[in-house]
Amino acid sequence: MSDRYQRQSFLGAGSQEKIERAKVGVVGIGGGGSHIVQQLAHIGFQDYVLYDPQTVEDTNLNRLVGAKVTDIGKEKRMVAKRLIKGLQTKARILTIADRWQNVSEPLMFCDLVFGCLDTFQDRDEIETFCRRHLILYIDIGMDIHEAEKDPPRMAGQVILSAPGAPCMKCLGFITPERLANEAAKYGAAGPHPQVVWPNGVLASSAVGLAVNALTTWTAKVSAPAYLSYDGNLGLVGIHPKAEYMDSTICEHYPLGKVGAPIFQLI
Amino acid sequence: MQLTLRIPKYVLEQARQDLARPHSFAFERVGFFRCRPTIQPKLVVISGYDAVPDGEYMFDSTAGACIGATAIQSALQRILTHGSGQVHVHWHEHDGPTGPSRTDLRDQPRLVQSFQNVDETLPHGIVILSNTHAWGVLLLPGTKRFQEIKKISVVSGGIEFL
Repeated sequence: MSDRYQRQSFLGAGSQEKIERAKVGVVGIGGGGSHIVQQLAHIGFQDYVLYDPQTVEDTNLNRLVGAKVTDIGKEKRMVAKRLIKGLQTKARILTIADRWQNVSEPLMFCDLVFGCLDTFQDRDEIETFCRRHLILYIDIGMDIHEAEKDPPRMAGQVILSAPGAPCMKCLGFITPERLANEAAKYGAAGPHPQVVWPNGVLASSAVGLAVNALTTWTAKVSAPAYLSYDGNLGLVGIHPKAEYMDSTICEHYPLGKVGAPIFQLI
Repeated sequence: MQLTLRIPKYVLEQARQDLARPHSFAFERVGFFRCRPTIQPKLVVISGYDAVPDGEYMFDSTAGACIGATAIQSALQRILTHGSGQVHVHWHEHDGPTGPSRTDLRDQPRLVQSFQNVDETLPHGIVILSNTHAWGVLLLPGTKRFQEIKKISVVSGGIEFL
């Protein structure tokens, strides 16, 4: 292990090799994804697939890690690439300025995928994709809800969804009602309310789960993980739904249903 | 993209448990992973494991394990019934990297080619496990040459690379 990673040697023998061998996908490299990319680069990840079709706007600069004023108008993926290359000069980085659904093949080869997506529909689709290809999926997201007399409520989640284990539907995070209603509004404090610090908390928690999944340094790896964030109190804890699940088996994505779908004439 | 095989940990454990059981006369056991293609030929995913029943082994002093026609027919039938490729798997009981013996290279490719004769749109192959690593080759759809698997990963709540 090189001196650079001396301070993370507690992760265990061979951990840096595992980190360097893993291919990671980050879908959405805005507020949340930019934090994730930065941390992955610090940790030593070498192989990236990054998706984001957007360019940097003035309104992104309140939270887009690595972005400068001079980046306005440039593609977000180039900001992320610069961030990684600044720390990992030999990193292999494939950036895609499109929705992942349109160019999904590179994502298939990722060992783990971080989803920093805005809609439940997108989350549902990417989880299905990851289950079919036996990919570990880690979802992060936050929202701000305005209450009538109380201050706005800031909440977020980090979910690790693993093949065979309960999924985001089992956890009650993705529901038919949410899928149906989300198009009408996103949060009550305006369109896509986002600030830098909850993204940092959620991204750090997500990266922590990923590093543990690869290195098992805590000697405890379990799925699913469902962490909830209370931004008003500044607390991250295990979501009650993960603590009191009825079943550890996912009925939505059976392990036998992997790979390309089979079409049978009946 | 490098040829990649992903195995759910649950399925790998099932295979290891079966392959570790002693047989009354065979020196080792063999089994079959079920596999599925993806839209990218270089990525193949394992969907299950099928053991070879005790009675379907044949005595052969020149091989660690020899299976009879019924076991092979069952594997061929699974291709048709489940639409899954067949990956012949056995275990070399040692730590560290592993690879095929001369006997493995003599017998197993012919078996896998017969799988391809049943359904050439599916991947089929050979995997050899050690205690810590694995080696494998696949016969991909539309190809006649075995290709070595470059990355074998085991997936559960964690990720291991064999």
